[in-house]
Amino acid sequence: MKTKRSVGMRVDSERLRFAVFSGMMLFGLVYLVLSLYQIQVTDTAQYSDAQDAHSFRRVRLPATRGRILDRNGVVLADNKPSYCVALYIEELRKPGAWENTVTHVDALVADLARIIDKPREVDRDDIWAHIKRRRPIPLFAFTGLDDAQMARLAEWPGALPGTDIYVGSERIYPFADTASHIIGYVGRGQPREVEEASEVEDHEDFNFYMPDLAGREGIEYACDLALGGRGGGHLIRVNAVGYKHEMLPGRPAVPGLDVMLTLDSGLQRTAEQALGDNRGAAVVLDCENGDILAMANSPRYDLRLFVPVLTSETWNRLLKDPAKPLYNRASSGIYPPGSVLKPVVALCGLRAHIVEPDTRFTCTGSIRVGQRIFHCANRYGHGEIGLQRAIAASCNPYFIDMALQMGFEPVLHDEFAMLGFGTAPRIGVQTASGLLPSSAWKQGRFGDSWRGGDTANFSLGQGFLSTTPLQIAMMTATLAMDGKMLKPRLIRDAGDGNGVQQEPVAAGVMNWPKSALSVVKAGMHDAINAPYGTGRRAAVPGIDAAGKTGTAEYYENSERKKHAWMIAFAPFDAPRYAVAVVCEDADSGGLTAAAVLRELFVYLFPDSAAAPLETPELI
Amino acid sequence: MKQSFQKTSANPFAKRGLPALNWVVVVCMVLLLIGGIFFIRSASAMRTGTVRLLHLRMLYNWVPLGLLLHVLVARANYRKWNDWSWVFYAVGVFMLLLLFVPGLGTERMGARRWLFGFQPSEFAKFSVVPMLAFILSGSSLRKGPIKFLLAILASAVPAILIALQPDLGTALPLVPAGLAMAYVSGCAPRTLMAVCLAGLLLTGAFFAAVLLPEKLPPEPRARVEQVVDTVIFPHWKKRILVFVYPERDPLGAGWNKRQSEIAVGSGGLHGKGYLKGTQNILGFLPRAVSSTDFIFSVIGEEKGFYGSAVLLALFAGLLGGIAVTGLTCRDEVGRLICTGVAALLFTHIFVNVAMTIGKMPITGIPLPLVSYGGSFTLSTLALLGLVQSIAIHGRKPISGASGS
Repeated sequence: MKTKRSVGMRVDSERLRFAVFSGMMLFGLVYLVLSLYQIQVTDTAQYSDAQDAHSFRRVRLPATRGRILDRNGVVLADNKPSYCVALYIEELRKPGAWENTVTHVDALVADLARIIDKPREVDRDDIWAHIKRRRPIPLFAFTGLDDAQMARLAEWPGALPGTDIYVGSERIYPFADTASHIIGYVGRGQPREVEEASEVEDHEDFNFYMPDLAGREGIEYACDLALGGRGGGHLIRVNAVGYKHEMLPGRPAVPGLDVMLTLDSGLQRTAEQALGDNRGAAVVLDCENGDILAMANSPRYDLRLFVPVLTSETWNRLLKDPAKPLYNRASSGIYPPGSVLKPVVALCGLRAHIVEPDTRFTCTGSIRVGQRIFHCANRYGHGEIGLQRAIAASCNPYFIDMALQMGFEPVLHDEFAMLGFGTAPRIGVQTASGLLPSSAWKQGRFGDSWRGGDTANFSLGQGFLSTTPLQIAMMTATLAMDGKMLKPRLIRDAGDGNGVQQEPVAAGVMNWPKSALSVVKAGMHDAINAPYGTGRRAAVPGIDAAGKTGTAEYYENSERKKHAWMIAFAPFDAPRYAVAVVCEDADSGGLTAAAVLRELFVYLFPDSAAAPLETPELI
Repeated sequence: MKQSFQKTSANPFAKRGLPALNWVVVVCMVLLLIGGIFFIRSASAMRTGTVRLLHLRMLYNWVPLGLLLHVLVARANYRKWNDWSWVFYAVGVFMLLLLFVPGLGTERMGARRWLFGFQPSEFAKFSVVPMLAFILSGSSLRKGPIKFLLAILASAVPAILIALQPDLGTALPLVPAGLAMAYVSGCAPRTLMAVCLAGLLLTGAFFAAVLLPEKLPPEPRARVEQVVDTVIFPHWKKRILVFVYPERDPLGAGWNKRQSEIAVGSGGLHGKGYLKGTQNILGFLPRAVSSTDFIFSVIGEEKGFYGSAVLLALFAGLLGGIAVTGLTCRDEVGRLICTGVAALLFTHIFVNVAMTIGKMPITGIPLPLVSYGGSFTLSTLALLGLVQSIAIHGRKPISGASGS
C-alpha cells in the first residue's frame, strides 16, 4: 500500500511537470502570435511603406576584366566602356494576358531600333523567354552602343517609359587578329541560378544582374578566374514603379588581374606576316627557359568580330570556311612531321651503334622494303654518303636502312614517347596530343601486325605518326639544348599571385651521347649552310643557324599533296631560339617553310647582315 | 483512483469506431503538409530549371515516403522496440561519424552534411528521443545523478557531431528537447537550473567573444580576434554580428533578415493573396531559401496575419494533441517520448518563426511539415509516427515487470 501510493504520487508529479512543460510551449506560441499581430496588424503600414516607396534593389556590378599583355607589357586585350539599353518589364506590363505585354515590348524594341539606328538584338521569342524566366531583372535590348547611337537616344524628344541606359564594359583587341587563337574570346555570362535549394545559405542572388564577361576560348577561358575578378554590388533605392531613386554604397567590385604571356607581340606579328597566304603555323621557343615567344597561325580570325556580340551569321561563316580560320594549328593542328624528325632517328642509331659517324651507305635513289619501294628526294641517288651529309641532304634510304636495323620497338618508339610525342603539352590553351603509333595500337586499330614498311615510313616521319607544330618546336629546342628538355610555357604571369615565372622548369633529359650529338648537329648545320643543304634558303648572312627541312606527303580527296616543314635553332654554338614552321599544301620544306623561317631569323637577330626587311607596322 | 485514471485515458475516437489514433494530430499534420506544398509552389514559382517544381518533388517523393515511414513506426509497439533504442542510436551516431570519413560525406556550401543524398543528422535526431526516454525511464538507475549524466552524454554526442559539420541549426533543438525530457522525468529543478545557467553562461561568453572585441582599441583587438577566430566558426560569428548590427551587411545576411521582416509585415491582416506576394515573386526574399528556411515569410506575406494565426493554431493543435497523448499514456517511456517530440517540434517552430520576424538570429532551422526538405520531412513524420504508436499502444495495461 505504501509503495503503491508513492508510485501514484510520482505519476501525479510527473503529470504536473508535463503540464508545466506544455504550458511553456503554449506561452511560446502565444508570444509568436502577439509578435505577429504587432508586425502584421499594428505596424503593417511601416513595412508596406518600406516596401512600396523605399524598396531596394540589389544590383550586381561586374568587375573590370584584367588585361592580357605580351612579355614586354604590350597590351593584347583591354577594356572600354560599353553602353546598353535596358528595359524594365514590370513597368511595361499591359493589362490582360502576357501576350499583350510581349507585343508592347516588341513594338518598343522596334521603335528603339529605329531611333538609334541599330539592328535588333532580341526578338519576340527572347522577350518571352525573359518574361518567363527572369522577369524581375531588366531585359538588355541593345548592347554596345556607339557615341552616335547614344547621342540619338539621348536627344530623342519623345518619352521612352521603362527604358534605361546601363554602362558595362567590353573587350578591345588592339591588334585585331594577332595571336587571336591564343587570346581567345569572351561572351556574356548568364545569371547564375542555384540548382539545389539546400545548397544555398550564404548565396546572394540579385534583383538585377549585370552579366560578367566570361572567357570562352584561349587564354580568356584558361585564365578566366584571374582575369574575371569579383563582381561587387550596391543597393538602389527605387520607387513604386521601379524608377531609380538613389544609389547606396555597397561592396565595390574587385577588378580582375592582368595576365602576362610569354609571347613577343612583334615576333608574333612577324611570324603571322611571314606565313602570309599559306595555311600553316610557326612556333618560336626560347631554348633557355621554354618560353613560347611566338605561336602563329594562318589563317586567323579577327577578334573584333566577337565584340560586342558575335552574330550567328559570322560564326557560321567562320565555321564553314574551308581554310578553318578558327583552328589553332600551332598547338592543336596535327600533321605528319616528315623528315624533320630524322635528327632524332640518327641519334638513336648512333647510340645503339647501328651506325657510326663514319659509316658509309650507298644511296641508289630508292630502297625496297618488303613489297614497297621507297624513293629518295634525289631520284638519281646520293651515291656513297656519310651520316652528316645524309642529314643535310635528307637522304631517305640511309634512314630507312638504319631504322630497319634498329627496329621500331622499343628503341624508336620509346625515344619519341620520351620526347613527348603522343601527349598533349600543358600550356594553358588547348593542345592536341597527336598520335605516336605502336604495334599494339596498330593491331587494335587495323588488326594487323607492325611491318618493316611501317618502320621505314616512321623513319621518314610519314605513316601513322602525327604531331603538332608545338611538339616539333619542343623537339627542336631539346636538340638545341643537347637533350635537356624544358616545359613549354605560354603564361608568364597568370595573375595568381605567384608573379612572373622566369626560372625554366625541367621536364627531363634525353640520353644522347656527346659524340653522336656533334655529328647530328653538324649535319643540321650543313642543311642550312652547305651548298647541298636542303634548307639553304633559310640562311641569313651573319646568323649561324642549324636546321632540318621536311616534306610530308598526304592525300586529300585522293590527290597527293605536301606539307612543308622546317625546324631550326640559332645561334649554333649557344642556341637561344628554336623554331618550327609548317605550311600546308606547299611545294617543299626547303622552299616554302625556309622562306618563312628566314624572316623570323631576320627579326630575331636584328644585327645580322641581312638586308633589313621592312618592320611590321603597328596596327 | 484507478478507475478515474482509466476514464481520462479512454480514447474518444475509439467509441466512434475509428482506429485508436490521436486524430487531432493526424488532421493537423495533414493540413500542415498540404499547406506546405502550396506555399513551396509559391516560393519556387519564379525559379528556373528543375527547382521550379520543388513542390512536386515534395508531393510525389518526400510526403508519400514520409507517410509510409509514419505508418510503419505507428504500427510498431513502442514498448517492444524501446529496448532496442540503443541500436538505432548507435546507427545514428555511426552515420554521423561516417560523414567525417574523407570521400563519403558530400560537402555543399562549406558543410559536410550529406551521405549519399541523405542527412544522417536527421536520422540521429530521430534516434536520440527514444534513447533518452530509455535512459531516463530506466528503473535500474533510479534517479541518481548518473542517470542524468548519461542522458546529457547521450544527447551531447550527436549534438556536437552535428554542430561540427557545421550545422548549428540541426544540433540546436536537441538541447531543449533533452532538457524538457530530463525535467519531465523528475530531474531535480536545481540540477536543471545549473545546466541552464551553464548553457546561458556559455552562450553569453560566445556573444561576448564576438561582440566585445569591437569595443577594444585596435591593437589588442586584432590579437583577441585572432584567438576568437580559431575557436568560433566564421559563419556563426558573422550571423551574430548581423543580428546585432544588421546595417553591417546590407547586401548579404542582413538583407535576408530585413526582407523577411518586410515580407511578413507588409502582408497585413489579410495578406496579398496566393502567388501575389511581391517580396516573394519579385525575388526580394532570397529565392534559394524561401522554400526552406523562409517559407513562413511567404505565408505571412501572401496570407497575412490570418494565415499566420491559422498556421500557428495548427501547430498548437499538433503540439496539444501530442501533449494529450503524453498525459494519457500509462508508462513513463511513452510520456517522455511525447515530451521529446513536442520539444523538438516546438523549438523548430519557435526559432523559425522568431528568426523570420527578426526576433532571433538567422539560423538554418526549417519549419516542420511546411518547409521543403527531404531528410527533414522524413524524420518529422517518423517522430509523429512514434506519437501515434503511443496513442495506439500506450493506453493498454502494461504487461510485464513494471506493470500490475
